[in-house]
Amino acid sequence: MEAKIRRTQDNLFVLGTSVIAFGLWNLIKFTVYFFVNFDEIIQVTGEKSYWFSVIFSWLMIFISFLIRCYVGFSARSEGKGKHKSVLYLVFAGLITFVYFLVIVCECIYFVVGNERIVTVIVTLIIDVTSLVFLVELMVNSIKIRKLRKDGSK
Amino acid sequence: MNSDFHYYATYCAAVLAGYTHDESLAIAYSDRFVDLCSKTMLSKLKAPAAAATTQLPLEMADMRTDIVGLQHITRIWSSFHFLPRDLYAEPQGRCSKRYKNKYRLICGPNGELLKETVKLAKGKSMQAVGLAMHVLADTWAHQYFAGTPSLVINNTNRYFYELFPSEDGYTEKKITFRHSATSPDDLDNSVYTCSLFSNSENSIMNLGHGRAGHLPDYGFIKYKYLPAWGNYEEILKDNPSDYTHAFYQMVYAMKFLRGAYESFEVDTYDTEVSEDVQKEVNRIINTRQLNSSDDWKALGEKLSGCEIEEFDVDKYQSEYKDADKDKKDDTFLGKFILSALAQKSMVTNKIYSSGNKLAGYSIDYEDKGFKGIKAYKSLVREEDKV
Repeated sequence: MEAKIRRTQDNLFVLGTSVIAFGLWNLIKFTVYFFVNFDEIIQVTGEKSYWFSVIFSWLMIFISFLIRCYVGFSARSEGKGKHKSVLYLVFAGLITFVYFLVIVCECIYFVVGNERIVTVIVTLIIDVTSLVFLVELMVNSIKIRKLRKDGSK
Repeated sequence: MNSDFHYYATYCAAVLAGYTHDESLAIAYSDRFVDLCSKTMLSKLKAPAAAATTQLPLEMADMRTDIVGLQHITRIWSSFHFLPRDLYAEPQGRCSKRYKNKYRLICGPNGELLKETVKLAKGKSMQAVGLAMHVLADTWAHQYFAGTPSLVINNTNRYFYELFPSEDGYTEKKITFRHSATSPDDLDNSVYTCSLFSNSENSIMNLGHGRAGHLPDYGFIKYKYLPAWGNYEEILKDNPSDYTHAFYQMVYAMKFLRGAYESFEVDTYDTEVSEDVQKEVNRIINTRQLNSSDDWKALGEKLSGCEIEEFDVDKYQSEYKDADKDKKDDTFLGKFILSALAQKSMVTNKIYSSGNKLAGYSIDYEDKGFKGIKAYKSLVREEDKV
């Protein structure tokens, strides 16, 4: 039982780190996209709404990153043996749901769209991986709580 | 094991086994010498490099960790310091052959190879006895680690707790590891030195018990940790108990080698010593100090009634260097070198015969005719003499 708890805690620690890493990746990806596709963004948003779009997008990405950090650090903390509230799992669930929707949209774009196929495939792979990690994180967190409960009985 | 155990404690065990003072000194010297007989020293003596029983940190830093380099490292460390317990052990769960081969090199006491090691020294020189005792003692101290560089076997993590006896059983204190080769271990604050983490599977940092620092070599310490091979199961290492077993098994083994017993069986210990001696051995092993040389020396001198000289690594070197080529095997170091070659040859052969090529290839020269390293011809000459 102790070995199972240790293994699950270790998994949770690693998964928490990966969630933070993927959050960081999203931030970097958006920054690079923003600078590379500067003209395209102006074309789409129009010059008047440009700054609003930019600030709003940055805000959303940053909030998403913060949420990921909260989820990731909570998972790491729980992986080190500390007890954490269920709140981070709720956020993890929300991010998972959003990611699921994003992946569905990417799959549709892959089928329907003809541009940047390689980019779409790579993005899909990364997003699916991120989704798997989030699901694994939630599974391991629930597992640990169950094991601890069984252990205390 | 620490140098104090390999020299003075072995001397004490030899005296208790019935050896004379001079014989006990020769045995103890050879035991200690196993930790010093490196390729560098042998090249200084113009002795066969194949007889190296250890590797200096600088030699290891220079070692390549390709397949040939790894086999060379494994041959030395598995033969003399991390004798495998069970070459046919099966790990839990499914694993690759590569992992299985490394798992099978995990050191532990009372294995078949230990029996072979002790029997190999039967009827041989005091140097062979001393070398066998070194290997025997290290099977207790270095158990749970393998004599091959492997992250998946020898790595440890932050989960490392020292256990102190208390009224309710034991209290735990977390061990802090640092990477300072020059600073001595801090026993009061449980701060110890260990090797740096390297995520490369075959890095030298992952050889033997480097990741656990010197903890396996301290007789007084009791601790628990999670070895990489252990599947998150906790290992409790009770060094006082292990060292006591090692000591009395050495007495038993040396009595067998003297002819007092007909056979050598594993998991057998000779505790036919006076209560005073038992108490003193127990006290020395359990005393919390980095070096117990003075205590062991005092006990040894009390047992034999003779003065035990300090270990001097240069003592027998000029004898070997000045001897004629055909007389070198009869010198003190010459006999040690022959014993080392025999031990290395035996262990490498056993590992190879089990289907494991981590220690390289081995040929039975009696069956196949002689092929191989020139240095091992001296073993053939020895066989012919017998």
